[in-house]
Amino acid sequence: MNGHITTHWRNAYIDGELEGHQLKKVEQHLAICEQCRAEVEELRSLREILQRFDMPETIKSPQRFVDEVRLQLPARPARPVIRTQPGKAWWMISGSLLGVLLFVQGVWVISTLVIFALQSGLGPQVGLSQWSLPAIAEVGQVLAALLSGQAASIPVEQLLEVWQVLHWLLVLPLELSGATALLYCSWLAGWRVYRRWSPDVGNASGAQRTGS
Amino acid sequence: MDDHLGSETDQILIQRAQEGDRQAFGTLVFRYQEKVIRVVYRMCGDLALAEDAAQEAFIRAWQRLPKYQHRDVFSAWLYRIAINQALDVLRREQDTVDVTGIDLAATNTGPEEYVTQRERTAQVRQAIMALPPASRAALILREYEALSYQEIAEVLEIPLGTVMSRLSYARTRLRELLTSQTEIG
Repeated sequence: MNGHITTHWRNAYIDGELEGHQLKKVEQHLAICEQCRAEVEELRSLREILQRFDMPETIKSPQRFVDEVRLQLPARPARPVIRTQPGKAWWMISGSLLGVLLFVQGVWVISTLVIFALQSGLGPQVGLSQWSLPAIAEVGQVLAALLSGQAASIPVEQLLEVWQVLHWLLVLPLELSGATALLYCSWLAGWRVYRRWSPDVGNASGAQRTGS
Repeated sequence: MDDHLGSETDQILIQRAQEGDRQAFGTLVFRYQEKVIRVVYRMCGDLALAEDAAQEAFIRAWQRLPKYQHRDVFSAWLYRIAINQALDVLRREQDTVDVTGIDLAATNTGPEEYVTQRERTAQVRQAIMALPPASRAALILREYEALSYQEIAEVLEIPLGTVMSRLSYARTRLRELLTSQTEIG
């Protein structure tokens, strides 16, 4: 420190804003510099004088002041609740599930039409006579045997073949439809939970807000 | 006052007030009105005007409360609104606010024992009111609200160096205005 303490440092000193090395330097200088000590004392005297500008008693009582403020509080217009929007991937899940469902249903419808065509004798006309008719006929025979209580007479291999056909034509579409429906319901439930708990851009719901 | 809110912390009251709870805001007003009136009074120099301005400051705070960030110090945020409101009042009432008080020159004409306490108060008040509003605000926050330099910088949204400059200027100017053989020496 050269010369005397600057005005800024003098003020900071009496305001207790100095610490560490700065404080030590100022105190060391004040110990040897009468002029700076006098300046610091003048600042302290000024501080005492300023305290004469005291606060008079308020005109309104505290409760009255508060009541008047509350009466004048304007209604804050409700700010529209802006929820954070889910990403596109979220919507693609729903679309994909719908697509899978439509595909499965389409396969099932086509399969049903094929069976109907074969049963109606239209197989040769649609090019299926050489491939599907024996399997369909076997299915019919096996089902008839099962319904008449003659399951024991049916060979196991034949039962398995019939089961494979039935599984492909009937059970599999139902399984896929059921799984798709379950996934869709899960997505729907997740969507409802998301809408209930997702944070707004503002604050809690139902609150009054100033318009932005 | 609402007893059930009396023990709630400021943060809880602020949160409720942000959600539109007027009672919670009323409790905050009750807690902070003295500080706000004090600051505005010393900025304006007129008590009736200060009380009205303080009420306007709280109303403004209510309107801005949804934008208040909880990481900010509430009292500093409120002080800022109060001082801005005081400055608005000063601009609006500059022709009517009574800051003349006792003529400074008159205090030098008689011995100190005849200068009443009321005259001294008016003298100091007049000197403070003679300061530029920016320096006055820094001085009031330091001398009467005991805020640190950092807190003053946050309230007034100015750098720390500017706080020091304004305080230095304010005190130097006050010494010039108040210096007399009977006051300082």
